Amino acid sequence: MNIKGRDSDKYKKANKKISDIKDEISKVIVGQEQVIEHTLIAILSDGNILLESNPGLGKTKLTETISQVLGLEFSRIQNTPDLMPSDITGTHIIDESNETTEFVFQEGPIFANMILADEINRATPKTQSALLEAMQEKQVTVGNQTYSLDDPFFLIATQNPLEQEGTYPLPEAQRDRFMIKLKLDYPEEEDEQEIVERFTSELDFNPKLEKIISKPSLIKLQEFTRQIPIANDIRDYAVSIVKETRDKEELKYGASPRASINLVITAKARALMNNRNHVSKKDIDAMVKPVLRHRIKLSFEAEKQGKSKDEIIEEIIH
Amino acid sequence: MRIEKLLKTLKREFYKINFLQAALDSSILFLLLGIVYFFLDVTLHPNYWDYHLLGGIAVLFLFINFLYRSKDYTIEIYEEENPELNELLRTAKDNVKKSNTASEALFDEIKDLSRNVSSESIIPNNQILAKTLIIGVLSIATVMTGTIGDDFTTETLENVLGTEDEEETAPTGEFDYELQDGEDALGNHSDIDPEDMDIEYDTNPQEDVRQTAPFASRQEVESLQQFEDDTDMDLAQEYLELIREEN
Repeated sequence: MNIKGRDSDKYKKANKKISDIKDEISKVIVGQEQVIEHTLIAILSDGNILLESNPGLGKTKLTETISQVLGLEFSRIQNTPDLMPSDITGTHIIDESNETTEFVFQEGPIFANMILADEINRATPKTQSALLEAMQEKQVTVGNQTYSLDDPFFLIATQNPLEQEGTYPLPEAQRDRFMIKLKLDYPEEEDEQEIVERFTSELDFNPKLEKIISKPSLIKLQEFTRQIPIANDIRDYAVSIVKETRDKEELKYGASPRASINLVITAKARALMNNRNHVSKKDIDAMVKPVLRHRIKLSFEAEKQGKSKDEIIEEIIH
Repeated sequence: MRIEKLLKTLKREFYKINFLQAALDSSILFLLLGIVYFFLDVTLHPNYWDYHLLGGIAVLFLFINFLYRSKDYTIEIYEEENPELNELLRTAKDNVKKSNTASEALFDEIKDLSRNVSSESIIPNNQILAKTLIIGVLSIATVMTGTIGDDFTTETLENVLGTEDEEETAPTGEFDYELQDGEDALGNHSDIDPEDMDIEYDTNPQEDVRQTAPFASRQEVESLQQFEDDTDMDLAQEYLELIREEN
């Protein structure tokens, strides 16, 4: 077999793995195909997700299921106003188990592969900023010590769009660190019927999920995602979209160059997810909203006119 | 075949097609200029044979036309004609130097798809057919001008093509044997060598028709010389008859 044959086979193998992951997730999660796809895209792109959804839509179940299928260690942080940074990162405690008493570092819930930071906007800015370093640098600093987080590392932070009282909205700098923002909407009626059927037939609906991929394989898949080739004009198209958000009158401010980077990476991941070995313009268009919607701010006039961020983004694309 | 080779082949095919188009255009121009030159009978340059100049113009046009057509080469031309290759060729072109698994997988796919892609997909068949027909018509016209020769006149054109009322001019009387083309019988004036010819002519004013009337005696001739004008010819005739009666 020549090199050509081997490369094609490797690519098909990668596609098969992704397809198996989706199938396995669908054993638990009903519908929400787009959210699942975008979540996997963010994972393949090695990025963090800001998930906006009402309570009871299965955010925790979704994250837990994905982490199980990907063979990742899962951890959940419930954010509250009295949550301290050390509650997330961990702290030094006195270890008296040995003959010598010494301070040892006890890891917090952030030391996992997949973190669900529930209702992140309920945590104080001080605690929120503790997540910044973890999200961006994949490390935490406690006292004088810096501890590296395990690779791969993903953080899915959720926000409740309804209750804004007693919350601390995420600052722009922190929002920019989320690769994509997803909106988890109510399921279709048929899907909801299926959900009810599944979760009311057994006392504890917890089907045995197969671990499709190992951590090293997932990291290789992330590296593979970066290799997906993109044409120069399609890459320029992505950059031009992001640039236009800065010039748009309806927007108070536009997206940063990090948005351009994330747009291209997520488009590559989408191409891989859709069994394509190159980035298409369709991939860029599909990822524009998730990548840009939390990085732009509507102007007062646009808000007054009742325009939404997604509408403005659509105007830019067309 | 590596992807570079495929991309180069596609580019070469594009240049070939454009060269063909430019060659057809310049052939049309050459034939057209030849015919126009023939009909206008102009001298383009006194020191050069005019057909060399026309050929030079056609060759120059060929190069300019080819360069103009080829300047906007993009791989998208193939993508437009082959939708299955849309975005693929561009992506391959921009990532031709990469040699990772994903790129190689893309190149493999293109190689598989491009088996059905040839330069034929970008050939404007209708244009080429139309140009070939034009060249055919112009070639026939050029052959016809060659038959006529370079001493083209309306008369000779009529001789070659015929006249509309040819049937109506049936031969009659004394004109039955008149030469239709004097030069065909006598040769062209350019063939006459004046040095070999002795042209004899008499400048004697006595050679007037009136003075050389047949059967007139010297006395009659002298008598007639006093009549200066043609209007007096009747009177002269009467006078001549009178003299003859007296004699």
